[in-house]
Parts: sequence; structure tokens; C-alpha cells
Amino acid sequence: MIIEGKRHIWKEYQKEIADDHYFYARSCVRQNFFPASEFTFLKILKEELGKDVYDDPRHTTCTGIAYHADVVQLPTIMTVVARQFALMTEHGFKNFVPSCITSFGIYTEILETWEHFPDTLAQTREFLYKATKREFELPENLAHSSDVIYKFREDIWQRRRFKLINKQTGNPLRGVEHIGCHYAKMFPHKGVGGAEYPYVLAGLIESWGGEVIDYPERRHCCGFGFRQYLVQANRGYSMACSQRKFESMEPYHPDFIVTNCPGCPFFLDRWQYVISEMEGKTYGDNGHGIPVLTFEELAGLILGYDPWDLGLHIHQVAVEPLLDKMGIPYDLSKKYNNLAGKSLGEPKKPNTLKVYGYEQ
Amino acid sequence: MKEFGFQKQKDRQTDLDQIDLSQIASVLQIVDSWKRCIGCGSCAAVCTAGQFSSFNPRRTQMLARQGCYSTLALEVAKCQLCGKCRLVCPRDVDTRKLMHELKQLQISLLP
Amino acid sequence: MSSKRIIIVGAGPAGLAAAGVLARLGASVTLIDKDPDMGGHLSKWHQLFPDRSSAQILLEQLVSEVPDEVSRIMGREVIGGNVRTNQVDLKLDEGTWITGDGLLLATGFDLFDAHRKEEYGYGIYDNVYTQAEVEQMFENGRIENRSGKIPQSIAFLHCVGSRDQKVGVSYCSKVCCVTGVKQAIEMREKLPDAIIYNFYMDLRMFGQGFEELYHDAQEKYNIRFIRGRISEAAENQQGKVIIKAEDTLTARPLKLTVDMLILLCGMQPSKHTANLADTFGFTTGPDGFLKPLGPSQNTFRTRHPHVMLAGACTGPATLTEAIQAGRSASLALYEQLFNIIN
Repeated sequence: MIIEGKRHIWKEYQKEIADDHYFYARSCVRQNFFPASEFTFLKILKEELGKDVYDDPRHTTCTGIAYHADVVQLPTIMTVVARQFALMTEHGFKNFVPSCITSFGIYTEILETWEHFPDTLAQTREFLYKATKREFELPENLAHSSDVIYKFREDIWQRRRFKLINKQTGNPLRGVEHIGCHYAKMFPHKGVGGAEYPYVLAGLIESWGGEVIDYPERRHCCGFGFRQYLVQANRGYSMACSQRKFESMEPYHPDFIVTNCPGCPFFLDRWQYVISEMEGKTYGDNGHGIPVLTFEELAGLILGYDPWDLGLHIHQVAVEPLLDKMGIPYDLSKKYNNLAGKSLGEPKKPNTLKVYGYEQ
Repeated sequence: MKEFGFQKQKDRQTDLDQIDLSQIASVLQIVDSWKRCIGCGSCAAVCTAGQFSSFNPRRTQMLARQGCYSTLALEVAKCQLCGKCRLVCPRDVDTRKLMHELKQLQISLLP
Repeated sequence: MSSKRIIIVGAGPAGLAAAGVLARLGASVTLIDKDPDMGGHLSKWHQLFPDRSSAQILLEQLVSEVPDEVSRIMGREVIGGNVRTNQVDLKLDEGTWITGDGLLLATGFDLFDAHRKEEYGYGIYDNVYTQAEVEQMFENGRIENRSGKIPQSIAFLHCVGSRDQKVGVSYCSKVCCVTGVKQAIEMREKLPDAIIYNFYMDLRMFGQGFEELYHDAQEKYNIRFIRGRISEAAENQQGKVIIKAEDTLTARPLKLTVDMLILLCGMQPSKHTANLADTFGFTTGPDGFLKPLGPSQNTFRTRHPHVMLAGACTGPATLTEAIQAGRSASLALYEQLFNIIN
């Protein structure tokens, strides 16, 4: 590997990321499967970095999944997106930050379409006004929330309580970074590092003390796919894609996987469980699997937030081995408690995948 | 085992690192003109069996050269050995002899 | 009959052939090249297609045909100038001006920069090479990869930076296919037991002896040809390159691990050509090469009767074509300047 070759490409694919005053658009999937991630993003930006972020309760889903599954048509999604921008305009914001990668792809695609086909923009304005009496301005800056964390990675590093270093061996932790397809594959110049060698998550790992793994199937899609998982019988396709990646990364012994998309961590996490049940195969250390984190969860661990406050207990693959390596303390007795301290009940124990927190 | 409601998709990617070419090595020795095939499809265009079945001599020999023998038995049985393919091959591959040898091979591969 | 001075910019095969012809016809010739040595790309080659003759011997022959009277300005670049009705003035990078009665541009080509095809990891993964680097290995007599290992498996990829809208090159560079076949054969001779694949979209074996080379590559040298374009290369822990392609003739995607991936890069108009076109206002085609007056019989003429073009500066060309162009353009320039025809 000639790392200078990669650094050269990373330099070529840089993008404008606004440094304050963000309008935040949450993600349907992330709110459900990684609820603490968005909470953590807002906490980091507001409390650690003192930024101005607006979280509007009236915004909706961008309908990206429905659009990619051919359930919602293009004029509809353009109008939905226009309404999001109208809310942004109403509150005087110009910088739009979506939480979801598919959303980011949608917003990028629609802004590009409006630029090259102004009649669609005019039509959208008309539709939105007819439906809601709202008007909107185009955002001046569109950046994904992982871009924003990337921009402030050094500031986060300076406030660190923990590093991506294995406390027992002193070596950097080995991290696989997995980028959502819609981040850069559609518009390479809208992604930090471009499409073939994206840097937005690799930069986080590097700045926080870890080592980035490049393995042969790095660019392979996790298999999320919309139609490939919406229909239960099709999920085997999605699982096969993730398994291709696991088989390829296994010889490199990664300590964790970090992702920036809603679907990717969900599938990379859950499919390890399904593969263990179907085939008896596990990846990572000692049958525990390879822990999969969202970038906010990774940032939260660096900043010393409690792992259960980060929602790590709802991950299928045990995160505790990673916490042990980083020297992060955690209380297993509190793992499945709610905020009031009452137990939510333990999930059923998997047959093959090893987990922490069960009586043997 | 839990019922998940779906099966894992089979991997369709040919892994050239793993293919076993030992079986066709003997055929290549007997019909060494096979090496000059360029996959132009002249044979498939005039193939008698190919007009009315799925048999395709070009595709059959290509798959065999990649070590994909799974469809070989079924397909090559359809060749009538009429010889029209050999008449038109621009690379002078002895296609008829090749099909004959592949038929022998698939017989030897039967369990 | 007083002599006329003809300036030739570019001392590659076209320029050298031209210099030889013009000097023998009695013109005064000034030969300029930005490199300190003559020969252009030819000086970096080992064997030539189709007959696998020695590049260095051909270079020596071309150089020997340039008599001592030819004035040589090596290691200097032309950065400006004028074309006037009966005269050309060229400015060199160290500030001097030279004047001539006629001008021949033979500024050649650059190899496509393989870094631009990011999916192949050239300059990032250890064992991805261009055909130019491989030609150097043949010249040095030693085939080994970056880890110092003798490769056991090799893949050639045709059409890198040619026929590719993503990098803005729609044309075919013509000579890379036969180069790939030639180098595969050379590899086989050096590495009798290696696995050697050529991945192609089409095989353009247009010249005399080319198709026969392809035939021999398959039958005598056991080179495997797969019709399908590699579109992803990655590196494994041993530094080997894992490639993904499709065998279009069986309609199945495939993967292969090789010790060396060799990219057959196309021809681009040389940066120098582009600069001169800009400076002098010469016409270029949509492909960026210098555009002569016509494709059939005026392949070296420009709108100035005393300015001619020869070789790869007008488009992808074989060595033979470059040498022939140099000689044709010389004759035409001579006729023009020495008033042989009206």
C-alpha cells in the first residue's frame, strides 16, 4: 500500500462543510435502530462544541426508502424535500445537515436536478405552495452529519477521555470504515475522499488514534438494497452481500466497524447474528463477532459518554470486547435498564454468537 | 434452528483462483486447437442442436474452460456431432472433436 | 539554390526520420527536443511489434541517419513564437529565439496517467503497473514485483484511458492491444509456468502480423484471453492484486488474484503538443491532437504551407506510421520550400 497515493486522492476530493448554524434532519431508520446516535450528535455539537443546531419536530421523513423502492414518485419526493427546506428557511437557517446517508443522496440528487432542470424546481415550488402554502430557499450548504463530525474531529480529539488504542497491547485499534453507498457513489465530488477511497470515516479513525483497514471487499455494498430487504424472501441477497464483506475483512482481525449510514450498521450488525444461527459461523474475537458502531457512537466513546447512554446495548453484536480493549468502564447490571433505572428485560440469548451480561 | 423466512443467495461470482482445470487438461491435450478459440460464435450460429434447444457450443466450451462443469453433462449430450460447426470455424478449431471429447469427459464425471 | 532552414520540434521517431530525409535532400535542419536524449518514447522500449525486433537497434539506426550537420538543441523547450508568411520564429525556454523557413512539429504523445483510473489503484496498491514500467523490466532483464518476488500470476488490462467517457477519452489508442499481446508473450518467455490473462473489450489486431501474434499467444504461449473489462482492483494482505471482471462470453462475474496487474494505457496528446497548439493557434481535434488538413492525403499539412505535422502529435500512431509520416512530411516541406512545385 502506497499511502501517499491515497492522501493525494483525499486532497483532490475535498468539500465545503459549513462550520455552524445547522438545520438538522433526522433519519427514520436511525431513530429506530440507533436512537442515541442522533441524540449524541446533537449533544456533541451543542454542548461540546457550542454550535447552533436546530432540530425541528415538524420535519418529516424524506421518503428516500419509498422513492428507491418505487413507491413514491419523483415529483412527490421533490415536494417533500422542498417542505424540509421550507422549514429550514422559516427558521433562518442556510446549512442543511441530514442524519441519514440515503437522505443525503436524495437531497444531493434533487438539488442537482433542480440546478440542471429549472422547470422541475419551478414545478416543485408550485406543488408545495398548493399543498401547504409554504415557500423555500435552497440551502447554501448541504453536508451529512458525518461530514460535520469529520470537520470537528480534531476538536473532539482534544476533548477525549479515551483513544482508539488497545490498552493491553498499546497498539492502535484496527477499524474497518464502511461508507453508505449514497454518500459518494452517485456524486463522487460531494463526498470527502471521493467514491473509491472515501476519507470521511477513515479520517475519524486516524485522528482518534486508530488504524484504518483496507481490505479487498471494502467498496462492496452491505446489501441493504431497499427491495432486497423490504420483502422478507429477498433478505438472503442482503445477507450474502454483508457476508462477502465479513469473509474479506476477517483475516485483517478488525477490532470494530464504523459506518455513517442507517442501513449499513443495522445490517452489518444483525446479519452477523443471522449468519451465526444459519451457518454456525462467527467473525471477530472468540465468537463474539465484530462490533459495529455508528460514527456518533464512536465519537461518544472517545468523549467518555456512558456506553448504555449511547444505546450500545441494543446492538446485536457485543460491543463489550471493544470497550474492554479501550479501557472504557461499563456496568453490566445497568445494561438493560431504562432511564428510570427499571429493567427492560433481557433479550433472548443467541445460540452461537457470544454475548455479555447473561448468567451462564 | 430459527426460521428466518429466507435463504442466503448463492454466490454467482466465478472464483478463478479456485477453479479446478485438471479435468479439462486432458481434453486440451487431445484437442489442442481448442486453445485458439476466440469465442466468435460462428459455431453457435450454424449449430443444428442450437436451433431448437438451449445447446450452444461456444458457451459450452467457454464454461468448460472456466472450470464450470455443472451444466456440461446436460448440454453436451444434445450435440448431434453433425459437424457443421467445424466447417465454419475461422480459427480452425476442431470443434466436432472437442464436443466428442467433452461428451466422453462428462460420462467419466458421472457419479 | 540557397539552402532553407527547417526546424523540427521533437526528436522522436517521426522527427528523427524527418531530420534524416531533409538533411539528405540538402536542407539545413535544426532538431529540438525537450529531453536531453533523442528517441522520445522509443528509447524506453525493449521489443517492437510485430516482429519483436529490438527497439534500441532501430533507435540507433534512426539516429545514425541524422548527419552531424544537423544542428541539435537538446534539453530545451519551445515556449512561444510566431508563424509568418515565409518564416517561423521560435522562442526557447532559456530566452533565445531561432528562425526558420519551415517548421515540422513532431512532438508526439504522453501516456495516459493511470492514476486517473482510481478504481485500479495505480500508485496506491503496490503491484499495479503500466506497460511502460513493464517494458523497462524487459529492458533490464528482470521481472519482479514491488515485494521483490517473481510473479506467478499476471493480468493485463486493455483499454486503460482509451474508449472511456469517464476520463473524457472517446477514441481508441490503437497500439495498446498489440502491445498487450506482445508483452504477454514476453512474460511467458520469462516466466514459463506463470498464469497469464489478458482482459479486453475488443482485440484490435489491425496491422500486419498482429492477428498472427494473437493466434500464437493463445496456441503456443498459453495466454488466456478473457473478454471483459476489469473494473475493480484491491490489495490483499500479501500485496497481491484482486481483480473483478466479467467473462462476458459466459455472462458471469469473476474474481482473480494476481501478483501483477498491468494497465495498458492509451495515448494522449503530449502536454507539449497542447502548449504549442495554444501558443501558435494550431487547430486541434476534439480529441486534443493536432489536426491536419485531411485524413486521407493531407495527413501532415496545416493551413500554413511551410508548417507540417508528423507522428503521434496528430493522433495515436504506430512506430511505422510515425516514421513514414516524418518522411512524407519532409518531402512535402522540401517541395514547398525549394519551389519544386508551384
